[in-house]
Parts: sequence; C-alpha cells; structure tokens
Amino acid sequence: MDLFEPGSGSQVHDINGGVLASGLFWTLPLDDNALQVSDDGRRAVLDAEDIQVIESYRVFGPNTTPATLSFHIDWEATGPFVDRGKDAAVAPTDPAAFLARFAVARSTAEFEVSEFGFSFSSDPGISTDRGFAEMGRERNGAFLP
Amino acid sequence: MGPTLPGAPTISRRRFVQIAATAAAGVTGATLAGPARTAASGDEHDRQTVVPPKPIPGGVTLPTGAQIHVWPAGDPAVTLPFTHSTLRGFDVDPSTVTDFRGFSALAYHAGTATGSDGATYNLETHMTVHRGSYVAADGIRRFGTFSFI
Repeated sequence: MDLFEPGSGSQVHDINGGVLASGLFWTLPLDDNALQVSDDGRRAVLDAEDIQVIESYRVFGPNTTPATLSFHIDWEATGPFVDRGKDAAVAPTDPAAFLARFAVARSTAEFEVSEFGFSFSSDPGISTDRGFAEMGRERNGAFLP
Repeated sequence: MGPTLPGAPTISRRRFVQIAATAAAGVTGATLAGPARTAASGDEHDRQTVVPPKPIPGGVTLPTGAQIHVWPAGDPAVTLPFTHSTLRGFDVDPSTVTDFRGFSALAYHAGTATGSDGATYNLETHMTVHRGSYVAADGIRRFGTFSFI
C-alpha cells in the first residue's frame, strides 16, 4: 500500500508485509475467519485488524519502522468466471504457470495504518474503478495436473 | 472495521520491540508470527506459529537484477494512476504462494487518504488474499489464509 504526495507525485509511505528469507514476498498470514466468501463465489469480504506490517516509506526503502494495518475489503464479481492460466505446459517460472477460474470484479475498501509518529485512514470512495480486481479459485505448483 | 486508530500504536513495549526487531531484520526467519489478532485481545500467549508457504518460483526482475516473487496480474489495458504500473495480463498468476489450491482475490485500489498531519495523500494498493491448501516450507500439506500487502 503506497501513499503519494498529490503535488509532486512522490511516494512518501510504503506499507508492506516484509520479505521472508525464502523469498516469500510481502505475504502475511491471516485468521481463516478473516475471509468470508459467498456460496456462489461471487462475493468476498476480508477483514483484518492490527496486522503487524512494515513502513519502508518507498518501495525497498532502506529505512523501516513497524506499523499496524487494519482493513475491510469487499469484492463483488462483475463478469463471468473464465479459465485463466496455462498449467504445467509452461515453465514453473512463467507467470502463466497456474490454472484458475477467475471473474473480473469490483472491490471497495477501507484502510487504517498507525505507526510511531504518523497514522492515516483511507477516505471514502476507495475502489478498484481506476485499477483492477478479480476473484475465483486457482491452483499452481504441485497442484497442477 | 474497528475503532479509529490513535496517533500512536496501542501495543505493548514488548510487542513493539518484537516488531521492531522483525522489521530491522527484514522479516527474515523460518516461520511467520500470527495469524494477527487484535491488539485489544491481549492474548499474545495463544498465538500459534504458522509454517509459511513457499514463494512462487517466478516473479518480476528488478532493474537491480534482484527478483521479487510476485507478478502484477490483471487487465493489461490498466495503468495504475499513481505508481503508473501497467498490469501484466489475465493469464498471470496473482498468487505469491506456490503449491497452492484454493480461493484467491486480487485488488488494485486507488483513492485518497488523510494523514494524522492533516494532509491528503493519494493512495494506491495491490492487495490479494489466498485461502486454501498449500504445501508448506516443511513439505507438509496445510491449510491457511494469506494476504499480499
């Protein structure tokens, strides 16, 4: 999650999940009950509170400080589920090395971040209208046929 | 969402030191602490250690030559408003976790945020959630929920 100064466009905050020694990138565990998915898979809600994250001010910035992040994210599918990915027919390092049934979606969200000396909250209207969202089921790696 | 966060973190000094040490180390180590619970719950002692998943083998190569194990999946017609990143395509895995099977959702949000300094900032996200089975770093098949933040 990035914050930018409106005038200069410069990035001034970068909230991320850190990197494990394995290379697992900006990925953190959540409680399983943080995510609710509708029976038809076309709606999902993700809630998390006070996740421990890292503020690095800019992507891969050398200075870091601990921060906490809370968020509420809604997804709602806006299109049909379609097949994605090319399974094991491509190299494991290929971006298409997965299989999925994904639907394009719209997502709205609220975020709160607090760190030593600074905090911020998202304003109403945060959405993927200028971005992108998708949702569905997928498999990769050892779960490919 | 819970109550508005105050200007300063409401965490114990011990927890602060733990987090600071983790941040200083770039969150290296064999396991992930968590899953995260609310600070108000005060139940630090019942935390369980999550055996982390493995990263996807591929990912973006930075100009420095380093690789990060994530792809900017999504509609290639979309260029994000503040990072100016163009998404890589629909046939691109949104997961940062390999040996995974389950539900995934991806979102690139944009909007504004208000800081404790009173300033308005442009906000952009790349968030995912993945819940399902995964073969963990210890080789054991497990179930979990993970979020790219």
